Amino acid sequence: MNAQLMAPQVPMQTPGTPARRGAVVDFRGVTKDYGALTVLQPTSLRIEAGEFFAIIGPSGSGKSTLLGITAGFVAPSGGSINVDGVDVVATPPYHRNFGMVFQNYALFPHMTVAENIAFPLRMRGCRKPEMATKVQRVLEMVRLSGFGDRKPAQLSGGQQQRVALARAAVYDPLLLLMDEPLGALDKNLREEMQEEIKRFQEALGATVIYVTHDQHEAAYMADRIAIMRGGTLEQIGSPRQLYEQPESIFVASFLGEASLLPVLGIAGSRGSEVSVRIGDGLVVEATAPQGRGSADVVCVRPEAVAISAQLPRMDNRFAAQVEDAVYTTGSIRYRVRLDGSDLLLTVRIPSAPDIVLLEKGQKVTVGWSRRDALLVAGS
Amino acid sequence: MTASAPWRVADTGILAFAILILIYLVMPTLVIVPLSFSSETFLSFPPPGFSLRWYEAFAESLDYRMAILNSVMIGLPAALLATVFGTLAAIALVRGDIPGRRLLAALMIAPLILPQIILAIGLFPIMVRLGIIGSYPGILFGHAVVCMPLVFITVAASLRSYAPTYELAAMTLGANPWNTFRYVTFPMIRVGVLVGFIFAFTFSFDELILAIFLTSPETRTVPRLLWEHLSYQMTPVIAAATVVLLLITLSLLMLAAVAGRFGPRKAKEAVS
Repeated sequence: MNAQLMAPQVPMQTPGTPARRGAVVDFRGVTKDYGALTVLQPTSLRIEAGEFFAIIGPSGSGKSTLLGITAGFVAPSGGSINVDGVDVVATPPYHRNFGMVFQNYALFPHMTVAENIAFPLRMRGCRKPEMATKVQRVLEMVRLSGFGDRKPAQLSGGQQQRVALARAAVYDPLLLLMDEPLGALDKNLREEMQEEIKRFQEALGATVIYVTHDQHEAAYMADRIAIMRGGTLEQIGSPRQLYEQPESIFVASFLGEASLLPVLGIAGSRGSEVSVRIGDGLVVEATAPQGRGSADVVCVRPEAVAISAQLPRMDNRFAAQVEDAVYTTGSIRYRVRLDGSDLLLTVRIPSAPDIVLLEKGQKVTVGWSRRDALLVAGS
Repeated sequence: MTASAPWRVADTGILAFAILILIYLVMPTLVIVPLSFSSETFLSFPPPGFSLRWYEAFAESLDYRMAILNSVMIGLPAALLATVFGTLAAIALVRGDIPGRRLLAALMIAPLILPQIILAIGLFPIMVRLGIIGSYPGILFGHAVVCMPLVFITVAASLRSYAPTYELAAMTLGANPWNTFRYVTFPMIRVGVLVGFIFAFTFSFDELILAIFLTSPETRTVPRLLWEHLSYQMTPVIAAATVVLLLITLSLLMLAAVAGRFGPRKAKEAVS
């Protein structure tokens, strides 16, 4: 897969703009195998300066391996990683000068918060007064001034993660690696920390590579996301690109919810407008993405579907029956079965006080427009 | 909770049995204590009268003084050697990426599990050949070998008690392998190392079989001296010496227990 094609337009650095833009990270054919087992297929990927780049995927997809190789914990079996034009593959982790934040924070329990943050400065032979100033400044950045004398165990999970962030950033690395940094926090704190990390990155001006299994987190924070699967990059793009233009069934189902209706045959096509047969007498008006030949399913996002007893004219209209209805915070989620088939469709509509919940077994009409029915190819 | 009558009977029975086992474990060791205060000139139980004469005899004995000095002069360097190499081995086998590490770890424990007489018989001709039989280095190296597993076990347990991410973190922060060990690994396994050292010294201090084979009258340790005395003079001075040995050992083990209690608390995994 050629990742460069998907690179977004990052403004060129013009003279006079602030010097700090983070590092450009260029993976070229990076691969890792353990004997016969290949955990990372040759991977090429260019991450732009100052970009917030998320890597998501199920466990075993190779995302942690890719991060471990970048940090220098894992030696790649082949390929190169150029950071601002310099290959770092042979550089030991302690000379790479990247910051890294771990899921369990990895704060040294025998050192105070200030000692933890000063550690990387100490390793760089920084002088005492300068060290104190820098530690103080970064503590302010993560809003933990006055916590310097505490031991990590005396802090909450969120505070510990902020210390870890401060420690990884105090020496102004041009590249920050984050390995599921919010995985151990509860939901509310996680959302708070997401904003905190974003702000921190902007203040620091570093490039961030952020590994997570949480698609919402990635979509909220990242400029671009790479979805990994089975040791390969499945698709790279902005969160919106990945959600609205998935290139595979895997991406369509991994990011957000989707009804995937198997295509039985093509009933007719004109340019990107394709009519596909999904059942006996059931034809969906769908859109084929440009330059893509095969189409195995029709992908319909739940919020694109309208549901009611009567529907205005839409490209696609089907009689259906409600299979189940669930109220979730702020929205109602229905599963409906299209009449004359076993096809199930997920529908999500915003909830409001005056909306009456449809009952199981009720006859309804569902509909959606052609542009919301995307043809997606295999696996 | 209210238990039914049969259960209460069973509970009482189990408790009584546990107490009996404890008595069985500890009593034979403690029998030596009243013996050492005997007024009689031979070992007899129960002792006919109370006196401190055997402690006086022990304190005045040049042989015992020499033996204690020998035990310390052998035990300290042996424990130190065992600690250095046991710790290095534990780090290599727990943290390292070495093929066959399970087998190697089993081999590390072997000197502790194999009968010491086998090691003693094996070491004897080697040390004769090397010309160090009966010397301090001879017994010192022998003890270092049997003590190493103790340090290996305690340090390996310390290393396994926390995730290796601390060391990875230190490296990303710019610490080379030596600084990573010095500032991160060592402070986190310090208690395991200290406890291992105490165990090693205690073991060397009490060890008899290697001492019989590898020491000479000039380098004989307390256990060997006791053993020699047992074979030709059964006076309660042996009991007094044993009680002193027991006290030293017990206080060292208590020190180890206290050290373990003050170990670094594990970093609180984020809950809040």
